[in-house]
Amino acid sequence: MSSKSLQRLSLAILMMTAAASGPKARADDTLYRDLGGRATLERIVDGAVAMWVTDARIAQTFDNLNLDRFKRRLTDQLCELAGGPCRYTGRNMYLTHKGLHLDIVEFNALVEDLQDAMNQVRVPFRTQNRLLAILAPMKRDIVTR
Amino acid sequence: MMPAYSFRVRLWSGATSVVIPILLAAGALAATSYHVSQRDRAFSLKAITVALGDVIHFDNNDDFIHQIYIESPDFNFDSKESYPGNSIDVTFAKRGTYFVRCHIHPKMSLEVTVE
Repeated sequence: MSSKSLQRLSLAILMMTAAASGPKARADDTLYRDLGGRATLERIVDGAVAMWVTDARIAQTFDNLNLDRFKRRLTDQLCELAGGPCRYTGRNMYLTHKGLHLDIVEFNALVEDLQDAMNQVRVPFRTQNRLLAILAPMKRDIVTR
Repeated sequence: MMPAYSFRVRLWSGATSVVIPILLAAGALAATSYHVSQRDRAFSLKAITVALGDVIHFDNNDDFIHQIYIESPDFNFDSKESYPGNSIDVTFAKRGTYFVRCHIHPKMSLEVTVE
């Protein structure tokens, strides 16, 4: 089985388990610290965005977008979701993405590139999965096509 | 006895002091409103010419958040974020040519000429 297939399988399992359990409030910042704090999150976001804007599957989504602003917002969001001391002030995932009309292929591209970005900064596989498990339920709001 | 020409000057002076403010007021009332739409991460127009004092309503008809800003030596404007369904009103009170842009979507640009 190829690396990409493994990633997809891993993501599918995470989505099923996350959908079953639903999002939970995190009372600690363990994941945030395990990810390496805000500095590492910024590196992850930098890496992911660099891949997204050159990934033929989703590059058009980022056309005409202020990437610095986008990176700040995404870092805030990941930081908050991981239990860090940040506050995401953007709109909810449905409103943010509905005009993009994303399909499952584009969503998978986003996730795969994010995983590659986490690999680049050597985030342990189990830590990656903990973050992805939090993000996975957002699929229903992000994929609208 | 007052010379005839002096009376005419006073009459003319009095008339202008009344008429000019009325004309100015009429001019102010005649300011035109324009609507420019923000849709698909673009302005509905590339350029527009307006008169001094005219107002442009920037209507967010998009699924995305927008904002607008103008940077020039004569006129600066930097709005808050405008959510879908909202509008930003800008009165152009100085003559010149301005470029209206969006911080969120850098390729959005509208050239406004104020005559």
